[in-house]
Amino acid sequence: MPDVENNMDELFRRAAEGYPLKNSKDEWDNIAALLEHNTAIAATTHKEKSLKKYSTLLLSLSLFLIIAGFIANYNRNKKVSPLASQPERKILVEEVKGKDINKITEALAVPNKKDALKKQLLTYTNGVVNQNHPGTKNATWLSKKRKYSYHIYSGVSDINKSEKIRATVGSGVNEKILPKKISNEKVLIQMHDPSEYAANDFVLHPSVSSIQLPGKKEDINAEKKASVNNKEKGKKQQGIYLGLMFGASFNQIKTQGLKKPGYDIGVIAGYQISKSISVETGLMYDRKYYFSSGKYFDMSKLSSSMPADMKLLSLEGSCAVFEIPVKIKYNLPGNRIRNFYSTAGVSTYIITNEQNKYRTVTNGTEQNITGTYINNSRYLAAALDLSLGYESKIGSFGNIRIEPYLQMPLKGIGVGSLPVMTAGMHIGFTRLIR
Amino acid sequence: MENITYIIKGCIQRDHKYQRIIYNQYRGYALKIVFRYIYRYDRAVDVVNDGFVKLFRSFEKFELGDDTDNQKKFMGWFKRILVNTAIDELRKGSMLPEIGGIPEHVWEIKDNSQNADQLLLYKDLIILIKELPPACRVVFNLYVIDGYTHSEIADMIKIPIGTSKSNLSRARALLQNSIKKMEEGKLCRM
Repeated sequence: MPDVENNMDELFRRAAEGYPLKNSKDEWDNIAALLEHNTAIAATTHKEKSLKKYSTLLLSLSLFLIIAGFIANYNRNKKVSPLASQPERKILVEEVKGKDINKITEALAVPNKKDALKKQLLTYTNGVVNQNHPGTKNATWLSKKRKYSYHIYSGVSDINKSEKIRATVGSGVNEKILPKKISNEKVLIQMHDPSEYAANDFVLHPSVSSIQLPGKKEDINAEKKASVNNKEKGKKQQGIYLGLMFGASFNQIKTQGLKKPGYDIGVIAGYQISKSISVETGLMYDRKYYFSSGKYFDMSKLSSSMPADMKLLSLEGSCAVFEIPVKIKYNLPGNRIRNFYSTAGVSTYIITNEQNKYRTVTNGTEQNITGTYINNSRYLAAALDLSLGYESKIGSFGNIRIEPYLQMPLKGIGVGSLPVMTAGMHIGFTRLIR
Repeated sequence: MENITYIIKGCIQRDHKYQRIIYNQYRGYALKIVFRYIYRYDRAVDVVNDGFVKLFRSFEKFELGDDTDNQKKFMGWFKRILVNTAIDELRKGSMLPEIGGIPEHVWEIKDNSQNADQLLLYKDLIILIKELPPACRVVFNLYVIDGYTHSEIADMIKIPIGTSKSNLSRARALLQNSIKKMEEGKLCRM
């Protein structure tokens, strides 16, 4: 039996070696293209890793700067209110719907101490509620023809300290409570149109039974004045600015890897529409360097000048581009000295010069070809521009800005219609003209 | 013709000229190996191409020996790459049997050739292997034709050694039956 098996095995071994299978057609060009692609990827892996590292670093830095900006802005706003660190006493004003103001005769005041949760009656006279309440200030409420009655909850005040009182309307109506008249015995608080006031915090000095509030007449006037000033400032903020911008860039096609870094330099002009928004354009001269496998290169524009059976393995290219960006710039909250901003827009390219080094294979023979193209090809809205930047005032000169950016291709450019993606960093100087 | 060692050195340098020589020289050899596993001509050609790409990419790992050994060594190494690539391809399709027979146009038998009968016999034997159940066929190919041991086969296709052995026994039994039937059929025709 083993002999039979051995004979049979030997027979099949000979059959496997000598069976008459037709040889496949020559597919060397495909294999060469695959090998070229893989070699290129392997060669650029290191560069890609470096780019990823730097991109991550850049992104982290941008995020850090933005967060730091927000924190700085928040702290600055906090400093504006001296009440921030003071204990807060809440007065909750609840709306009671469906009651005619003329028939309302009572409201309740409740101390928010746990051991004194008794509701106490407030009397209502001619639209004014009076109540002496132990542990709270005497309060008189003027209803101003509103169809509400008010349940007033107030905490026990510390007579030795100023305290902060937050007043809200329970049903969600965002109204502010403002003092009208202050004495040792009474605190008169009037309901106002909430749109008049920005702040809803005010200070009660129990020792003098006074309430300090931005909503006092003089404060209101001051606020109005401030508002007018702000509007004037806003008008002053409008205007045209000009600047110079330059930077380094990395270009790549379909995440295949990077060639040497490119650069760009140019002028920008912008119009500040408001404190936050401006429109920018400019003229930049770019030099882009890139690499691509042949499969992303559209041969249709070159087919007449290349051999019919030629296969493109890869190319290394560079081009000189005039770039016209049109962007909206949005200033993130900050101060007048420094702030973060983001921009979004599109760029139009005018390619004036392009040089490609092609690696080709024709009938199994490799050949290097160089192509130089001098023309003015226009590509309207060829890339989507996105950036996050940081801008700071530098004395009387103007502003300096640092702007990491990303340009994503919306269409292919150059003789091969290559989708070139660009990432880089701009440094710019701008100056308000008028 | 250039010396194989010289060609291999050229391939290690990733010189396309020498890669091309290897491709031209071993294309048929590679296709015959892969076809025994895949049994679909067009897919087998793709697997062969993949095998060549893997070969050229990993040539740095090839250890050159004496001139006399290098040819044999290279063929064994390349066969291993091809078999692994073919098994990977089979695994992608869960080793499902291919539908239909082998089309006639994949064979190349010249009627006037001296060994035409022998070629026909070999062709029939290869078709007999195709008729085996997929698991038996792979083990038969690996063990009998390509010379792997059961433990190597167990590693390669992730089956227990016992299963490899039983699949081989079953393959042999089925092939013996098939050969017997084939011979009976020939006798009847006579």
